[in-house]
Amino acid sequence: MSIRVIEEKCVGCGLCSRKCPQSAITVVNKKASIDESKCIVCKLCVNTCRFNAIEVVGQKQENSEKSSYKGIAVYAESIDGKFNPVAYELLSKANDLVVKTGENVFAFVLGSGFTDENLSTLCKYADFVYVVDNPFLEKYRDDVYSKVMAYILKQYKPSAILSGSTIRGRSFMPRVATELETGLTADCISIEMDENTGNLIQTRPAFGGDLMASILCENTRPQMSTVRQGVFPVNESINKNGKIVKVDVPEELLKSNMEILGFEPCSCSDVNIADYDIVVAGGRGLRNEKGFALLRQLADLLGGCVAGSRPACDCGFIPHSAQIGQTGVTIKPKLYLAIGISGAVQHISGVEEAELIIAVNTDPNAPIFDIADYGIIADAFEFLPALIEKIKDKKFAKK
Amino acid sequence: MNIVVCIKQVPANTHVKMDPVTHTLIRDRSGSTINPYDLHALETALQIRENYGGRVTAVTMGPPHASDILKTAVGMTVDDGILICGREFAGADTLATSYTISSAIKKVCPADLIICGKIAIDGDTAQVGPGISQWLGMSLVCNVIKIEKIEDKKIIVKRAVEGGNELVSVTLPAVITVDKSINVPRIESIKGRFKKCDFEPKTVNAEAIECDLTKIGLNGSPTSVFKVFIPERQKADHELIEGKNVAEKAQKVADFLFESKLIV
Repeated sequence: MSIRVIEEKCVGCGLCSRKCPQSAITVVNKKASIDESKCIVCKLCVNTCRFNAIEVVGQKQENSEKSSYKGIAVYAESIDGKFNPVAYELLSKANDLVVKTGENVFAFVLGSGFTDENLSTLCKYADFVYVVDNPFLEKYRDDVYSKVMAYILKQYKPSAILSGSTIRGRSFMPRVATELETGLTADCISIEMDENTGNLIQTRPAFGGDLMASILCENTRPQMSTVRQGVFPVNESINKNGKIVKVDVPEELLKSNMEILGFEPCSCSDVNIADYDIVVAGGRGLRNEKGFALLRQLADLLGGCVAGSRPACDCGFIPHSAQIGQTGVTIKPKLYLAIGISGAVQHISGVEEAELIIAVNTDPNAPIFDIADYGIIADAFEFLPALIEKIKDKKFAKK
Repeated sequence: MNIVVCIKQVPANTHVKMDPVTHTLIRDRSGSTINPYDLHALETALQIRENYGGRVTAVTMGPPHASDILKTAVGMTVDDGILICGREFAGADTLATSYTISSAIKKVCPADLIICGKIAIDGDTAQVGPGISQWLGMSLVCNVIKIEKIEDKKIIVKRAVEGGNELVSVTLPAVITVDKSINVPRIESIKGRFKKCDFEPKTVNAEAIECDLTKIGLNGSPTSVFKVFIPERQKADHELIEGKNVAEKAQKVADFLFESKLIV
């Protein structure tokens, strides 16, 4: 598949060249010319051209086997028999996607020692709950989990499988996609279905997060996506009475090259910033650890937790487990205070559903103000100590 | 022991902006750099070489100027650098990319251990490392935060998982992806700098790595970009809290937080 300029129609206006995120188009002798080594066939130019002078050539052929894949599956991840909340969010989304087609929703469960009682929480959202229950699956091993998942996907042929972008999901789903030689789209923030083709339109941030790309997996099945927790809401009104089906898998799939030797719980990742009503976050504008120390003081006064933007986490001011945004955690707190965060798209997508957003930034044009309810133009290093002092005064005065 | 480190060239500045008047994209072209996580992957490999001996080869797929990051790797004293380059590879998604890199490793630099950064900061998929392990039928450990030891054809590492760290042992050959917390990457050594000056990467194309042409580039990519757009956001009518000085602004915010019962 590639992009071609229809020279007879091209007037050399250069609009496509300016739109191209890859800078793959130059105008030579009043005709657009595409550098194929740079072009990623994003088709932005095709949609941009006012003269219909750009076309896609060599569309892939339809795969006839596609139609034998039906329904939407969700990998319901469990740790110690407890399902990750993202499973219910994805099952809700899956129900949404099959509304028009009337196909089934499946939950795939891998693990050990499940009771009908805890599986029944999934039955509410799925038509079938397929459970591979084996003591060897109690511990997570990449090789075994990917082999078993690929096996049940081949067996039950869902048209798509959604998985949480959890540490496990991100680690073994790419192996499953490779074994099945199908497409996997990471960290989708929207999934819609084209009813005519059954293709999922999977949207995720691209080009470093300032643009969104909608991605299709047209010719191979199953279509695979990962989604972060908190992106889709749980639809409590779904009330299915799904059937639990125990699945046996061949013994040879349960052979592993991995041995789990030990586990040490870590208190640092115990703080789940998604659980807090008040989140105080800092970005590059806080400049250093001192800035974050101030932030922590403020968070303590407010009874909230401290989080950070990606640049702040990359600089090591705060652990990655407390990173907000597309590659971090999606949060919906009652109050979100963004200090020294400019508000890249990836960040904004992780906080825009906060009930109240107060942003502090030196740049009046920072995009964070676009989603803020209240904005303060100030330097964090002056504003934070002042705010801390005022809050302390007031708290103290009350007592 | 043969160690291969997979590295990627990424834009130094990943931001694109929109021209407010013409609504066209402005990309900051301030050059490209090595994916930051890959520096930690290189450091991990070099430390293993120091402790256990062996050879470290850096591999990247990209356009000719991607050889710049191989030079960075050579400056850090890796033994060799391989550039997988050719127009036939263009437009590859993560499946085609992992196939291409795994084919090159198999053909040009067979490995006992492959080390990747946990994620690349431009694509943010974290899919190529695990994909390579599957194509080559190797063990996989992601999110590695410490190398404990290597013995009896096994590598013992600590990985970050939900709620803590897990100590695991996998049989070699294996692919591991490393987190930034694993180490502090070294800066280029004097020796490395000299070596870098004369360094020319071994460049291989599809023919040289004997890969299946239907599995590379655009043709080998099951996913395709259907459209790219600038996200439109509803502009909230934010109210600017103003004041003569910072103290006055802070006072207003503090008052507001108490009034709205956010502080109790």
